[in-house]
Amino acid sequence: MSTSDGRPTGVTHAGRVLHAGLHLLDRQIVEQGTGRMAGKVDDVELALDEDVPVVRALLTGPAGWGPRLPGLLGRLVTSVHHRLHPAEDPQPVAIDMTHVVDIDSAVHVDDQDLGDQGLGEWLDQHFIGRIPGAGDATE
Amino acid sequence: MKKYLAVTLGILTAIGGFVDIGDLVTNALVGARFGMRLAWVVVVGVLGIIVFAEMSGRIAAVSGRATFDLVRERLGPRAALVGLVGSFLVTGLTLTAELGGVSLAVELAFGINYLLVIPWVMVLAWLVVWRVKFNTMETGFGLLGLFLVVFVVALVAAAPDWSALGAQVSTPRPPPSEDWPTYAYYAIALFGAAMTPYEVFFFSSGGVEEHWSAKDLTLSKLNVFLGFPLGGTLSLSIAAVAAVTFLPRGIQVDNLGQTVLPVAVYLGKVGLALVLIGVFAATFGATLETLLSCGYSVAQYFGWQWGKMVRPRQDARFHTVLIAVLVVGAMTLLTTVDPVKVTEYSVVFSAVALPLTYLPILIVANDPDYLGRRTNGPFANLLGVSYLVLILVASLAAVPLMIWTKAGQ
Repeated sequence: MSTSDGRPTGVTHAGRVLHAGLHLLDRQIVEQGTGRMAGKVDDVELALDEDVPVVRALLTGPAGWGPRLPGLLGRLVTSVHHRLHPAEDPQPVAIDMTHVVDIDSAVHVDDQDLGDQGLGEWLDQHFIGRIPGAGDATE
Repeated sequence: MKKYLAVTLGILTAIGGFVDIGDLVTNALVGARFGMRLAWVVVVGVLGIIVFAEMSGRIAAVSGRATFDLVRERLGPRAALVGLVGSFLVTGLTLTAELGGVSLAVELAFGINYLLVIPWVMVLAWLVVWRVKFNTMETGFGLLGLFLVVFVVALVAAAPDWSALGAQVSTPRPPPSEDWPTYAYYAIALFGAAMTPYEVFFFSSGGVEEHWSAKDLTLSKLNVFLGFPLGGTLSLSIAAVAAVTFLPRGIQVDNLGQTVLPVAVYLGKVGLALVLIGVFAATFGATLETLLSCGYSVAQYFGWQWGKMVRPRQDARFHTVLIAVLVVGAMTLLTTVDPVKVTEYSVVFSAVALPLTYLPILIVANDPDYLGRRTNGPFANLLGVSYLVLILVASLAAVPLMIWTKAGQ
């Protein structure tokens, strides 16, 4: 799965060659600026129409993670997510490689709405957010 | 001046924070049954935790990535999930044991049945992780835990036959009353108590919480190289004082009251009061550490936002895990299961869960992508690899030995 740099042409990274399996998969995604942790690179989407396969997008969320788990467990995760997700055919959250700013010990992406936070948002609205002091910094 | 104060504070915190319910119970139990004949295991265990805590602290400071981040990164989603489930269960079990320890310390001090205390400890622990700043929490309980130094004082006051204790240290084999499998079983328990996986989860995640950078490496190393051995000395003195008090009389230790009894015998009421404060602080501090470690490991596997550095609303999933784990731990104790038994099992299962935690740390500690020029030197690698072999042996032997010896009976 080694690609030349792992990004589409036009975005240069000083010619670094990255091993998608080693440098991208399962790495922490961090939002540039806010420093928010925004999930793991659960899978990658490859563009196979070029000479060498190029990583087109990073996929994150249960729909990306589930299929990578073996057998029954993988199917369970995928089908539970499918069931709970409001969309008809839920897709993993895709972050286009043009949004990737830097890759070091984490994958930094520029501020973009990573879309459906799913579980986190639900828990915030229905549980954690309702407890007094949930919006305050610690003292 | 201020800087030295911070360094001293860090080291003192590391000493006070090193000992938890697993160390308190296992060391006293082993001291009473084997004397100091297993002391070498504590030394081996402390060196092991130093080796891996230093690596995980260095990785956290330089790259900003905590331990379970690396586990997922290097082992992939499947093996890391096995590691997550294993270490989560063990850390949850340890949390349960620590909660029991806090409640038993309160029972010993005030005579209130520990079952009545558990819900309050649960609420108090939650309030601390909900509201109190990481640094305040860490320093406060670490410093109070230093009261456990009374174990050293009690040992000196007991005026033991030092040469006899020394002779036990230098005879690493079971006494006539015990057999080899039991000896090996308790060796693994002591090893597991010293190297519990939550210590590196907490140490590295704590580094990220406190925004360590490469500048803080010296502080991190001082904490590890001074704080942990001194904490290990506390563990050894707990074993020694139990050896002096119980071994000649053939008394076995099976509750927390017996762990602190020698202090009362040699130092009277004041000593007892101090040791109970120490036990309370050490186990309560460890309650918070194990609790947060459960949240850290799950959140880091999934890449969720975690930590006390943001408001709870911003890491709702992390805080939900904390609440769920705390409630399940407290409810487990309320079934009247013996907290000391829970502790004994937790340290042995710790040994089982160790390899999947420590292997990725060793791999990443050699990766210049993460560490630049601060990767492991040959000495750290030699120690790391030797310890991995040892960890693997202990991990494989733990359950068979547990069955063979009927959990050390």
